[in-house]
Amino acid sequence: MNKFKTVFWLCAFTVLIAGNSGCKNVQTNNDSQAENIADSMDGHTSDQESVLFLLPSPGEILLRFYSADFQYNPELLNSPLNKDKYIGSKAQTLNLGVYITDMAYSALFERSAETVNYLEAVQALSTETGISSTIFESLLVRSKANAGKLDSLANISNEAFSNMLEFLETGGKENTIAQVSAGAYIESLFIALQSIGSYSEDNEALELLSDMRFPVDNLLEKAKSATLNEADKTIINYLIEISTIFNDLEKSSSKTVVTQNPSGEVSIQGGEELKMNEANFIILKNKVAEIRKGIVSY
Amino acid sequence: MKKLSYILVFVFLAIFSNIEVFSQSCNKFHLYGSCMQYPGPSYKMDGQSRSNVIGVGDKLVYSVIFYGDRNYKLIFCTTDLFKPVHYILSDGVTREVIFDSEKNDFTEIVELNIETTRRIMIEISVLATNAEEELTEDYFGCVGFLLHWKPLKK
Repeated sequence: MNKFKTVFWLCAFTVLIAGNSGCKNVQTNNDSQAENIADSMDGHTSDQESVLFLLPSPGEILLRFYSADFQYNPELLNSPLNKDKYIGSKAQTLNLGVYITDMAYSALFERSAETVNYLEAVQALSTETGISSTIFESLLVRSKANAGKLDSLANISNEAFSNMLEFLETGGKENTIAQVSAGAYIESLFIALQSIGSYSEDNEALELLSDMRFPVDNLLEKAKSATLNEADKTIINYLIEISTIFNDLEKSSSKTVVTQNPSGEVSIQGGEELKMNEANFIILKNKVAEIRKGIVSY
Repeated sequence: MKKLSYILVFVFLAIFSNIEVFSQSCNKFHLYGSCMQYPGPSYKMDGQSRSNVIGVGDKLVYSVIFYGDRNYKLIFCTTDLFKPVHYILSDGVTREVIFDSEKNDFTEIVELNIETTRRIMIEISVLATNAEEELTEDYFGCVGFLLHWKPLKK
């Protein structure tokens, strides 16, 4: 009877703990686990302000250029067959980012087979860099089932990026996020610059290119706050080189005007606009090509 | 033998309870609950949508990129116990306040028409006005925001 009582109380105690922690996304403040989560979170501020820098996915970045009449050119991409040739965590994480962008590019142009090939390359390099490959398995099944559907393939590509970010954020691997994102952003810039080809003042894509300054700056800030090793410093240097070129663009500012209509809709007008001239364009194109070559070489 | 069986039962239960504790997370909180509302036709979800753990008295600050010539719909949500959400949108450079939900009846939805690409800071806190202080002092919850966008009509 005593044995039964002991087991009963052990069960009751455990169920109480488990039930309490699982209740409607609420955790106890006293729980040391919860304290650890809160302490390790970026963007959490109590005494001093720290900011979580968010990044649009490579698919979202390329989507903007896609509407600027870009043509599909597979020669711009890094072959997924190269995935096994990258040795060392720096090369693997940077090229994981490169492949994520190449997957997004293939998805945008509804190239189903290529999208699946790149997703498989992403999954393979993820495993090498300590990211759970299971987060991509359902996406692989969906990408095969949704062959030729632009919205579905694009969503799958964006989901692959956000699933990976979530996995890394949960594990507190901010430096890996910075490395992967740097590879992805450099590849996005490379594809955009090569697709534009030569400079033409009235090319609408130049404005979109200038807008890349914002996500690059956010990524640079994210990378700076996550710096831990020499590999991260190399990446920061890449980003600083690119950011410096963006900072040299001609700026025109107008006062920011915020208005709110009776239905509550807020309009924000004015602010800073950047203008890219031919010299800026050539410098940026050459610098990005040089950095990208260093990343994809093996 | 008795001792061994007690130990085994305890270890099993301890592991079981820990699985529950460790699986507790706010990942994708913005993809369900009150954040997940139909934004209207033509809207696409923005990948910068986020969720995080929060307690009363905490402030989360995000730096978000908003592209020009777009209309954005932002939907904020939190665990019931912590409602309402208080959020402030401010200019990423000047930090001038663009929108303060406190001055707008703590609305959980705001629409922004963005003319030129800019960085906007989103500060989020939870007030838990209807919860007892003892409860909110002892618990963490989830908060999230979902961003949708569509091309701005000119």
